[in-house]
Amino acid sequence: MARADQEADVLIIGSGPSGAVTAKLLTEAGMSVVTLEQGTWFDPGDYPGDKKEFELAAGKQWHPAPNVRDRERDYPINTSESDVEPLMQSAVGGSATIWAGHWVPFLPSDFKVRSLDGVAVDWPFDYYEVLPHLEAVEKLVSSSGTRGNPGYPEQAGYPTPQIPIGKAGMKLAEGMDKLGWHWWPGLNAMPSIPWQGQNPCARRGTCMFGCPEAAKWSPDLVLFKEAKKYGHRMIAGARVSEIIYDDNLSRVTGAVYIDQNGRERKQMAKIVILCANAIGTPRILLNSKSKRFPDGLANSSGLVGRNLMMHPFGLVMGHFEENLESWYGPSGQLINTLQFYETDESRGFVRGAKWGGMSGGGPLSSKGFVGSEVFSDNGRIEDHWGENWHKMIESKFGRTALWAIVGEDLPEESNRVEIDADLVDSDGIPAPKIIYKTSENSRRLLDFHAERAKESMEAAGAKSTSVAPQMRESGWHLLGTTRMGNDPKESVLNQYGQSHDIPNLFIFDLSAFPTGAGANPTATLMAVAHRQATHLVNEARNVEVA
Amino acid sequence: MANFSDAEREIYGKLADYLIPSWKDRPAATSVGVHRHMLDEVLRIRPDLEAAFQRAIARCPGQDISKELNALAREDNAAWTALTTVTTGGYMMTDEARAAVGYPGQVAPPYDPNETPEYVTNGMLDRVKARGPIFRDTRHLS
Ligand SMILES: Cc1cc2nc3c(=O)[nH]c(=O)nc-3n(C[C@H](O)[C@H](O)[C@H](O)COP(=O)(O)OP(=O)(O)OC[C@H]3O[C@@H](n4cnc5c(N)ncnc54)[C@H](O)[C@@H]3O)c2cc1C
Ligand code: SF4
Repeated sequence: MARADQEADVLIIGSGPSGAVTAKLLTEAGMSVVTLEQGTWFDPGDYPGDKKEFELAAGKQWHPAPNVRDRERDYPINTSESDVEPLMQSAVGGSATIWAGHWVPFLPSDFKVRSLDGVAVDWPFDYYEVLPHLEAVEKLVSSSGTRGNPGYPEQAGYPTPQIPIGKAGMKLAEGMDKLGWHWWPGLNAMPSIPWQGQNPCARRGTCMFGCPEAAKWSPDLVLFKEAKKYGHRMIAGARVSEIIYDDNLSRVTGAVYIDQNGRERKQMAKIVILCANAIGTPRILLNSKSKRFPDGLANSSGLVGRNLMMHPFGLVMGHFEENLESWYGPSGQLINTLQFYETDESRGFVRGAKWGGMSGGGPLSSKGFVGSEVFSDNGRIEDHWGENWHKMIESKFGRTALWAIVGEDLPEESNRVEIDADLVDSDGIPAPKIIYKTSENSRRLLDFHAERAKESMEAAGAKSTSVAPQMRESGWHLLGTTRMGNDPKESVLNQYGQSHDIPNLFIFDLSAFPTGAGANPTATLMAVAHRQATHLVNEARNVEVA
Repeated sequence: MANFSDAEREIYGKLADYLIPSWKDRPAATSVGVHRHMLDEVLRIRPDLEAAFQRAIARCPGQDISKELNALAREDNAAWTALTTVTTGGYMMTDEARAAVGYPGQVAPPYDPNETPEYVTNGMLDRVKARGPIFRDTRHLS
């Protein structure tokens, strides 16, 4: 029988950015909070970025796809029916241990796509309601940037100065300047000077394999250490198998989890908040069945797992004559642009994309275009190897700047997370399957943006360009599988992330987002989690608890 | 971890030099030891590549390297990828190859965060500001 630990006021499942903000605010407000996290603590010294082997390790142990890493702490995902491979990390700090730190708040129009463009749904609140929370979390993450971006409404500045955009960033900016297109120095969740216990970014350019400098913000570095002072309890290596629902009380009462020694345990709580990301969260709900919820917890709408969004992603590289030292970071965005962000129906699609300007990376990244790709066009290996390999390195390595294009995909019920019939994780818990097809709108959007990005590279003086309009391993952003809304038939959560079905169950991760915008989501994720946690603190006495 | 015989290392060395020969001032794969200490080092870091790498060298005895490698790439993609990853990965970790391509590694270049950036002094950023806001406002919808 599962051993039950003491009841907490709040149980949080998942310790990524959403769980971390929530844990901080609730513990500071005096609640007793326990976080269950399937992953364990990483030490910045473990990260490969400052070691010679970093690019090799990035191909396996530090790969962003759990299906490639195949670690015991990851859960497998059946992706055989998905155009895109989901990427994430299982650790204290969640996927933010390996995120790139691009801080790109959503825009006002992102909250009103139904009203403005007649597609998908409006959010139950707007940009201006989120803005004060955004400004608060921008301080928490020790951001660095330049105030006054005309891509956004006026807002407060950032706690630390701009990190240099480097020669690669300057090249990209020159192209945009020639065309008269919008660009702005990159805003990143990493300080340029020592700040709140984080070191300054040292521009190593290896953010996506963990920051060896302890500079890039991730929850394990700062927030959880602070929350601990207020009595927050982190249980690492604890994998939740299901949430406990009491049919008599019509409330959730806690969760069952498997600890690192394989023992089944229970954590009881008055309130349960899911922060396990847009695949992990619906997986837990769909695995939690009861008499009242035979199709998964909080699923009376039938929408749990539905409307998965993963941001169509394209890559355009420019190869330049000059040495841009394009292995330097941050990576991190050097600059970005919102020039083609808003809808213009004459382009043949709705909504848009943000482009993030980055350096080309280390030498093995130059090889990404050859190797196993050689035979996609029935070529001969000699086209890419021998002297030609040296020539490729000579012309691309250190001389490449790129635009990473993050586009908006609209929510579609057929894009979804289910429980796989056979697949299980290392604890025997049923694992998810995802079904995701790239829509015609997304394809057109990516083609248009790739063409424009190519033009900007040419304006910047690139002597050649490489275009990958869609990459399979690009599911960095997972959104939308338990969406917020005002109508319980059309949504899983209300505007405060509270389940329409069960008043003491909340979801604060990206699953709650009704639409995904065309921007990296974590800034808005943390701002929305900050809004929801603030509301919960203010309303705690009125929440009908277990 | 596998112990490779001298004969296996020699065969692999031939394949590696075909993929990365010496060129201008850049050393060939075997002259920086990709078939010797670097092979052991790469497989220590990436033991997952070993089986596919072994398949590659077993299939390519180095008699007609072009034919063997083209067939490998076409017929056993995983083995081909392992072979090229081991070779380029090992090569680019050596000081000699890094010096030849001008790569210091992912070092930390010093910078002054308070220095005024060139795009400010040369007016580039002012031109962006001068063009004014480009977002669609939604205040009228609330
Ligand atoms: C390589 C990479 C680069 C990225 N770069 C950027 C970027 O530059 N900018 C940006 O805005 N976003 C970026 N992202 C996305 C960003 O990391 C996510 O948006 C963010 O981490 C989501 O936070 P979260 O708290 O909702 O979920 P996560 O950070 O994914 O955390 C969820 C946590 O829940 C845990 N969990 C799941 N299931 C269970 C269970 N059953 N029991 C216990 N624990 C469980 C997981 O182990 C994980 O730690 C990137 C992502 C990746 C993978
Ligand atoms: S670029 Fe900066 S934040 Fe990124 S890994 Fe390097 S030091 Fe850390």
